[in-house]
Amino acid sequence: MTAAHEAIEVTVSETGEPPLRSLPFAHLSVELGHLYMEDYELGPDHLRDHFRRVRPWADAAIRQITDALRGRTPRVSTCFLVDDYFTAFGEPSEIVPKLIEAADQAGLQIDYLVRESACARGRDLELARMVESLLVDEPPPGTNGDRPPARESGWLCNGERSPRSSLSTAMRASQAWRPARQNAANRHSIFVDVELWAEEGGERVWSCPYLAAVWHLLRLGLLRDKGAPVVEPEILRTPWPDAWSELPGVTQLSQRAMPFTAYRTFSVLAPRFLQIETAVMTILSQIAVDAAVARIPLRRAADEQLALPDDIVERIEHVFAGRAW
Amino acid sequence: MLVFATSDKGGTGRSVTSCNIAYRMAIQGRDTCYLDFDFGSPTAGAIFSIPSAMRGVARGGLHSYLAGSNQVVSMDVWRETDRATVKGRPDGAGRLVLFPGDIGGSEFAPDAETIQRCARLLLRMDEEFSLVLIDLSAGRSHALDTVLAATALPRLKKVTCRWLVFHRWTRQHIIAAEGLVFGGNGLLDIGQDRGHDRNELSRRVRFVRTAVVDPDADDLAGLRAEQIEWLRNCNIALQNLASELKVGRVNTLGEIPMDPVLQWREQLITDHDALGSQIANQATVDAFDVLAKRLVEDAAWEGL
Repeated sequence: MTAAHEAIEVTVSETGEPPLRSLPFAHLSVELGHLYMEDYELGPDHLRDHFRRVRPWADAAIRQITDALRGRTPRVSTCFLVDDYFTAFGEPSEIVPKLIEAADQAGLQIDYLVRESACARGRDLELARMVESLLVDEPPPGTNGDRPPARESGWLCNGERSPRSSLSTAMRASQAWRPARQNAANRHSIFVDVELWAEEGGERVWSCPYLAAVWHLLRLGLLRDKGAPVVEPEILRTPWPDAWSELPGVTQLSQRAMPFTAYRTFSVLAPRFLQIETAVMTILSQIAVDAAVARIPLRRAADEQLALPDDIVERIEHVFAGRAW
Repeated sequence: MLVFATSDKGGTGRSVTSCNIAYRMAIQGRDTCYLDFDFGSPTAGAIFSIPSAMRGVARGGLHSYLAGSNQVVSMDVWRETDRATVKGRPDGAGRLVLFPGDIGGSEFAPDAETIQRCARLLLRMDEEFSLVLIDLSAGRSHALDTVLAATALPRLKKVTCRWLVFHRWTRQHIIAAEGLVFGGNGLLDIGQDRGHDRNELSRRVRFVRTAVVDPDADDLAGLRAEQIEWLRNCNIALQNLASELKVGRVNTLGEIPMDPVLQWREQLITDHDALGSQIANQATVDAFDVLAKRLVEDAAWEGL
């Protein structure tokens, strides 16, 4: 992980739109697991066990990209997402050093520490709202529009529900039960309906899968606000603060870290996150990233003779690793 | 016994006839109740002349019961009516109880729970009353659908159900009534779909003709010969049409003559109205009586 950062390029648009800023790209962004608040309360041994479980899978992923590069130096960065959105817990000054130490004991280094809240909103940007504008929900074949669009309902699905019997019409022969249907089913359907947000006390609370979808988009470098990156890693020059909100969205923990954004992402997660990630993939498969932004990593990867799938969902890899034996 | 009253078209006199049948039944000594299932227009209270339920009740109507409320309002007609000639239960008469609908109620699609509640209600009524008259909304309504589904449930298998389809004695009404029973998505089609045996159900359906003009009646004496001749021909044509469409005499339980009191006041016709003040015709009272008797007479319901 010692290669110099790539030069940052700026694409100037000819239509008077703000220039599109590029980002540096690592080959791979490795997420070193994810924890719930309760996990932090279980003490340093529990944290260390967590990173020990992640370690072999992270190593394997790095080995894979290293092999693929055939002698060229891999650019791999690691990251860790802290859930400060749904629950206020602990203080960074208390928790972050423990995290860093536990990772270190397992032989891992966290390059970037990211707050989940940063996926909801940045300093001057309603990031989750912005991503919402990229949602293009796929209508099931033959739909009549009776299901409101995801941006109105806050629910996004990948097909068609099992229809309710048509009770609304009196004196109609009862319909036989019909199954749900996935739009792009591979022989058999897996129907998923994902809650993107809920309104609580007039306030929109984004769902965990939705924020995780934003998280993947951030790591893949696919979000811009008027051409500018939506969040940029910052190095903390002061001691760890007492409140999460005082931390940058993305804190760079190591001076020499490879770029936070990467061509592909790899996440090592406990099996309990499988459903969430299924929901995340359902969301991401219905996100239309700005075409000009999407072209940047494709072009860069091509320049490095690396094949990058057009479909962003295929750039995201997971390992669901359970407890140690 | 459960008796369901329906019609394809509105304005057939279904409700007023049903109320009068219930009234005659009660007078004949049977405990009788009337359930207002005309959800979009629950005005049976007006026919019974119960001031507090002219358009249904604000709380505890059948509509809200089926929708999940636990309260059911019942009204003793003998006590609640403001008609002096109806007020007070006559000697030997049975109970006469109205279960009103809700003010501002509307047709609503039943779910499985609604149908269960409806079945529960019908069972309870059948236990408590010797005759339960259920007045349904006109046409292919949710009300009809709901009771078809409820009566098809196994727990109602043993309860005697009879279906009256009211129609005026006109070409349009005969065609409409036939359609409601035998037509596509009609009573038999949907009854079968909801779990009834089609033949069994069809044996329990009878038509009731209303506002029938008898060309040979004495009160038409004022008409010109040409008019009477024309009426006669019309009547024959209607009879032919009706039997062609299986709405003929064999399928008909009774007929109610045209009566000014029914046309303009839609009220219970008491013996006093016919004999005392003589505003109503005795023939109308007789027709109600005949209908009330045949309704419970097994012979009138034997296989055709």
